[in-house]
Parts: sequence; C-alpha cells; structure tokens
Amino acid sequence: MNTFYHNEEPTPAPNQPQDGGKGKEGILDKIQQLGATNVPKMEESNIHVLTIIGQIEGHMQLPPQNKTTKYEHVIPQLVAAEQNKKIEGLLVILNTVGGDVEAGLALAEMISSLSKPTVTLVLGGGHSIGVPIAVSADYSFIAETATMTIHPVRLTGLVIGVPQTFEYLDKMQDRVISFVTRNSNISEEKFKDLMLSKGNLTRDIGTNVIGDDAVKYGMINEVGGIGSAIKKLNELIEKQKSQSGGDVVQ
Amino acid sequence: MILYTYQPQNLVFPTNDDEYSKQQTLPIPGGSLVVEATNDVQSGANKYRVVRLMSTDPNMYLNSNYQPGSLLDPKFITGGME
Repeated sequence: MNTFYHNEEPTPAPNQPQDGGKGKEGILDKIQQLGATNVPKMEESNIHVLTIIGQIEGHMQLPPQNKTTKYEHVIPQLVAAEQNKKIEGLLVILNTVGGDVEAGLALAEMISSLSKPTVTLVLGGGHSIGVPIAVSADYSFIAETATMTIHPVRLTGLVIGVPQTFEYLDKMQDRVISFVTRNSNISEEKFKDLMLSKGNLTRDIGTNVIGDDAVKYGMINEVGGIGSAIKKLNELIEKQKSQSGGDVVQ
Repeated sequence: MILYTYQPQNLVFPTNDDEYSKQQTLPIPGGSLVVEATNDVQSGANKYRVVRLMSTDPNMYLNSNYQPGSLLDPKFITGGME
C-alpha cells in the first residue's frame, strides 16, 4: 500500500481537499476506500443508528480478523442515546451470525428498555442470538431476502459432560425463549417448535426463517427496508412527542 | 488435511498475541475509532490507519477523516466522549 501524504507540516485534516493536487488525491483515496468519489453531507440527525454486525463478542476476545460487535462498545452508545436530548429515536441495523448469549441478551434488554422509540431492521441475517435483538425494539422490519436461524443454545469448546451442564444450557435457552415471546407476537410453543424442528437445517436441529415467514410467525412486524424503517421510526417519534405534549398540558 | 472437530477454529489454531495488539480502539468525541498504527511511507511519521468507526451518529460516517483507510495524525485524536 502506498500513501498519498507527503507534506512536511501535517494538517489536522489531511484528507480534506484544500488545494488542487491534494484534492485529487483525496478523491483517489475515496475511490480506493469507498468506491465513490463523494459522500452526501447532511444536517444533524435526530435519529441515531446502531449497527450490529459480525459476531456478538462476549467475554472472550476474538482474533482481530473477525468482524465483531463488542458489547462494551455498544452499551455506552445506548446509554448516550438514552441520555442525549437531541436523539429522538434509534434505528438498529442487524447483520449478525450470533455469538455470546449473555452479551446478546444484554444488548436486547438494553434496547427494549430504552424510553425512546426504537426500530430494528434485519438485513442479510439475524441469526441465533440476533433473534432476541431483532425483536427487542418497538417495531421490527426484516428485508425480504434476510434470514434468521433459530436453534437451541449450545456450547463450543470444552464441554463438561455432567447433567448440570445440560440443565444450565436449558435454563439459558429458557431466558432466550421468554425474551423473544415477551417482545414479539410469536407463541412460546411455536418458537420452541421452530427451535427444535428436524429436517430444516442439514445435520442440525432448528429452522432457517426467511423474511416473509418471520412476519408470518409473528416474530417480526413487517417486511421492509431502510425507507420503511425510517418512516416508521419518524411516525413513532411523532406519536411519542404528541403524547408527552399532552401530558404537559393535562 | 481435514480436521473434524467440534471446537472452534480459534481454539484449534490460536492467534498470535501480536495480532491482537496490532489494532487498538481510541476514544473520539461522539464514539470510538478502531485503528492500526502505521508509518508514513515518505516521512516515516507515525500515523493511525482507520479500520472502523464506531458511533451511532450517522453524520460521523460522512466525515472524511474517519472513513476506513484514512490516515490520522496521532495529534489529531483529541479523545474523550465529552
């Protein structure tokens, strides 16, 4: 990799096109990194966006080549979103393969307990522990091609073969099931059915639920994309504003 | 070689410790940046190459200083979620 910075006195913003030559290099850089010459500018946003990508990282740090969402990074952002008066709504975009159960449930509980309107959008995949996060918001969307794999909780790595381990996993699974059934319209029975069904995943139990089906089962509210998600979030913000305005007048 | 195992790949082939230290997370106003330390080709000065921006503010992603791959001067990072 070659770099494009060769000026003696470093400017605070080396990438900004200030003169002709440097501007050209800035554009080259942008094409290299983003595949586009310019990115749109916009006004300060009242909606903040949280992306949950890759693996949800828990107590074990994964090697840096993995794309991960670290809960120690996300939780302060959620706290900031709750505290900041300028932020009126939160959009959560998911494309995750799942990961640590405790970390995933922690994020899901944080999102579901935010006082501000929240909308989730599942793009690509919202698998295993991504499911509770997907249902945690006030309203949820799934892209038509997106999938969610529902399967039982399991351990990788060292397994201690005692009955207590099984009971522990069973309890952990109950926490996931109760969270999903509390936060969506799916019944416990149906969710367990999907979780333990045979023949849907090769050599594994569970179900891969695609876009429309997730809505049909009641897990997700609606099939849609970013446009409908932002529209819904704005609606929810307006609704909350009018309600709180009513409270002040009484 | 085909390895049949129930163990995750990173337990079978552990990553070098220096792979972890390559990347670091720096706090910036409004979020944090994952960066890799690099040296500038011409001047040899220490720079940070941006790997990933972590923020909930969509506007920050439009800041060309924070776009992935851009080089930042260590002095430029003023730190802190203030």
